[in-house]
Amino acid sequence: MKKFLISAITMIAALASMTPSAQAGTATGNFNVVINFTSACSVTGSLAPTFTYTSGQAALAPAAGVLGYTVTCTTGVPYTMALDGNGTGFTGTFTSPTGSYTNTASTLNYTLTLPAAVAGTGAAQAYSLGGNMAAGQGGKCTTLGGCTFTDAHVLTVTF
Amino acid sequence: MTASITLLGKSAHRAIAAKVSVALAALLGVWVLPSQAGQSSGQFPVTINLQNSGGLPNAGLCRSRTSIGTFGTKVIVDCLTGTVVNFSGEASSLPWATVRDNSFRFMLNSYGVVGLQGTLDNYAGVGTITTWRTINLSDYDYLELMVHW
Repeated sequence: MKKFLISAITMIAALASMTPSAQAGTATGNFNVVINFTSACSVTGSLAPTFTYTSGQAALAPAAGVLGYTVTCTTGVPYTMALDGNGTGFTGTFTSPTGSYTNTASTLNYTLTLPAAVAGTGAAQAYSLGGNMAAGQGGKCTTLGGCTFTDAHVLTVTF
Repeated sequence: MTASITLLGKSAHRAIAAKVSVALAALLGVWVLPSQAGQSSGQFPVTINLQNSGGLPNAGLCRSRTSIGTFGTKVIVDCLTGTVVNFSGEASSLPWATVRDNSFRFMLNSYGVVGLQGTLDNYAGVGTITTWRTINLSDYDYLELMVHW
């Protein structure tokens, strides 16, 4: 009887000590964030090369006027610059980095040279256009005192 | 003369390529950025100021192979380019200094007048007018004479 009583008390104590245990779970999942990123380049400036030339002059005439411009491209984006071939007021060809042109009205020949482009940095990158008009050209002008001609060129940045 | 240009560019969207790339990325579980290319372009002016090299525009100088006093020498002058592009003769044999696109005076014989009019020097010669024409420009007319000597 005594043994039975002890066993009963032990069981009750054991049962009394049992408490439901708290349980926690986690669930995870992957998701993607899609970034559609469009790189871009812009060119700014007031590019306006000017040749002042005297018919038959003995020395080469470098381009003057506004020759500087800037290119701003997305960081890391490589890009190239090119000039046109034939256009309004002129004929010619462009073989990087130099274009050789003839002003149709005056028959004067000249060259335009682009600087080497580097990859974009996100900041404005300064460049300068070069230009030359060879010596010894007669040209054509039917106005007393001189003539002014204008060619409309196109600068293209490809990225 | 200046003109402003502002060139703003956007990448050419390759929608199909982008979708395919994204689909492949999802399929492969990796991130692939679609390659994109774009162009920016714009115009800028190139100005040429051509100044005549003194004297009249389209001035040409006739020179001959033979000496003064010989007739019939053919001289070809291209007055459109403002320079003598082709002429026969050797400048070294001429009795006067080589002149190009500068004033050159001819001592023309006048009817009823004996002798030359003016002073003869290195920039002058005797001759006979064979042809002449007037050139009408927008704000200026001038007389062009062809002289044989």
